[in-house]
Amino acid sequence: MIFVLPMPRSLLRWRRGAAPGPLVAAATAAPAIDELFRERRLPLVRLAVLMVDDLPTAEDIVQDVFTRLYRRHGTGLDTVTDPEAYLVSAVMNAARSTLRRRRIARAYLPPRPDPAPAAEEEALLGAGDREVIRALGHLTTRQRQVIVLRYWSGLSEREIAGALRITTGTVKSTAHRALTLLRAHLGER
Amino acid sequence: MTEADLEQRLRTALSARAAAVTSQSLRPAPTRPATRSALARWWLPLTAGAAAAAVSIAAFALLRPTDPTPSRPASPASPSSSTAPSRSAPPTVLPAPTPTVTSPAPAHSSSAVAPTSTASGDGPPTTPTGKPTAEPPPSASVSRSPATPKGQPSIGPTPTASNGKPPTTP
Repeated sequence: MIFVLPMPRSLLRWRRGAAPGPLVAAATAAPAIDELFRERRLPLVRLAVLMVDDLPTAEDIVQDVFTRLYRRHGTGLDTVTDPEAYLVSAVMNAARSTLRRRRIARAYLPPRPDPAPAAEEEALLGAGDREVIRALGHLTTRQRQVIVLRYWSGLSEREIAGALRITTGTVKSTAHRALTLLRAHLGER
Repeated sequence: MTEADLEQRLRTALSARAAAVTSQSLRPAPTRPATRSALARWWLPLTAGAAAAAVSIAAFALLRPTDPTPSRPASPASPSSSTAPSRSAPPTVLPAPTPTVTSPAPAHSSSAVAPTSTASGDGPPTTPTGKPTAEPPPSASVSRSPATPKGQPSIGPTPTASNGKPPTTP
């Protein structure tokens, strides 16, 4: 037998706060970041994986991005104009930072053998696909960002420029150089 | 390899690589803890606190040590009480039987006057007159020799044996 006692009015008032307007609005908008996390987590992790080639690191990147988003804007996300574009841009910047740190670490650490791909990757990726993914590793970070956003995310040049905060002309030139390099690498094999 | 072939290969490879990441391969998402009911959030801590306070107060009331020394009843300060003051009673509670404090000046004057009146033996003393006597003023004689023998002039201080010699009589 469960007795359900009503909450005291003073506690209710204290919980709502002195100014109920913004707090109630924030409470109603609180699930915004939760829904965004549930809906966008997997695509963002995939995007990060395409950038850093490492699933745990990609998960860390996405988690850090959501943590920073929550710290800066809270749960409501009312001040963010386009949360999805914000997340894509943040994941790209975080992946770029990760690749930079990795490059610096590799400069000071002895070379390590490449990790063996997982069994599901072997099953899902064909030989040609693995070759293309390996060729992506020869690109610069900016070129890889442009290629991934253009050919996997399907963004236009203007959207890529907005996400990476570069000009459209830079996007075009970067994509052209990247394709030239990829063709060279894939044509050699 | 044409541009279209390269782009197609890129799209296929990127899609296959991304499809290898599934929701099952991710870490379990942090689940939000279930919202506690008002009972568990408000009333349970309040009740627990009140119960703890009640238990503490009851334990103090029941288990506090009793005073080993019997408490002395408050005795009034009146001297008619039959109970004698105990040894441990503070001295301030003791009733003073008789006041012993006297002023020294009247005692000196009385002791100085009394030998004079009794040594004369002329009856009751009369009123003190301005008759000069050979005695020194009372304040001087009392401090050194309170009683002077009869008929002996006490002009100066009586010699004492302080110097080790017996007093010589002239």
